[in-house]
Amino acid sequence: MIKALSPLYLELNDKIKLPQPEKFRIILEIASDMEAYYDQLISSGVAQENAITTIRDEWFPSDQALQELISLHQGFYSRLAQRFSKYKLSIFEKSIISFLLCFICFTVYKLFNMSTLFSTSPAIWLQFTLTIPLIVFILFKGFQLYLKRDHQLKNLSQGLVSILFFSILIFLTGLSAYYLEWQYTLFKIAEHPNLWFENLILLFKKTTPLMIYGITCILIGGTAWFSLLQKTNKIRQYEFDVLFFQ
Amino acid sequence: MPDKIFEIQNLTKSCNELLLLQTLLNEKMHGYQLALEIEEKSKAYFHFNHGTLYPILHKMEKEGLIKGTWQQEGPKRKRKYYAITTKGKIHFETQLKGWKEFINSFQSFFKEV
Repeated sequence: MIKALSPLYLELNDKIKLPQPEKFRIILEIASDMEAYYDQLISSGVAQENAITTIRDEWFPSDQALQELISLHQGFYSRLAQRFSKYKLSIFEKSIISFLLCFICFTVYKLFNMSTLFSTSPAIWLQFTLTIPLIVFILFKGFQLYLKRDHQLKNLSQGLVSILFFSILIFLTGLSAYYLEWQYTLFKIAEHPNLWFENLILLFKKTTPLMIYGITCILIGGTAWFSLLQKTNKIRQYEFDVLFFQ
Repeated sequence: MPDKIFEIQNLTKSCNELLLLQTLLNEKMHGYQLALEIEEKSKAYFHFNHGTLYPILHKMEKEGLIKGTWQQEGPKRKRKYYAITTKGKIHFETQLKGWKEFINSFQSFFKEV
């Protein structure tokens, strides 16, 4: 890449509001043509400053041309989103997330046997409550990276650590409740040693779902966090390539 | 009334497509090379500037008329070359026929005037 043309590359990078790798490919294509033109101008004896000005005046895409390029490469969602105002779009996004949340809650409700749920430690409800922000963050990031394709660097990491945080929190809640239940059961056994077996069975009945749920959440949350992190790293690499032309 | 192969409203689009397809008929080229070739062949009558070429090329690529491929050029430079597809060749023939009809009608109209 020609260093003298860097301001033009950076301008392209700012103006082409598209997700990677489309953005990178477009910039690379235009940049290689600008360089060919630059080489031609320099070899015909034009001074460097004049060559850059000529390229900007004659070859650098106009805002209209760039807008046409952007609309050609926009995904289905982005095209749809353009029809909504910013305010309406945010309601649209919220509606999709709310709908998905309702769907997940309904499925979880149907899947769990209510009698089992009430015989479990009350800590399971705390775990369920903590699952809501976890789902919201996973959906939000997935939606942002894959559907909305908002690949602006400042937004990339937003909410990513929260996925990991809530997954661990759910697991730790289950683990704490597990030890509390153990302590409570041991006290009960000390009071009624003849009922030790019944109390132990009750303990397992109360704590097993807590642990299973905690492990499941940490697995799902961890996998989601890792996949989303990989995606953001890939986007960052593309941005790096665009900016520094590796 | 004879069948019109292309719409009058799309004259500019069709003209650009035809120029590019004609230039790509024999060899694959990159954007800048295409612009130079068209300018040279038309004795600077047709001139693409301000990046107007890119939306046209990308649209034609999306429509399957041309195909872009990346090629390594030198140790660090990568370049996108465009080649005409079979669909592009058929489209070219159709458009060319349409243009010939259009030019004939246009000339005969002005002869009468």
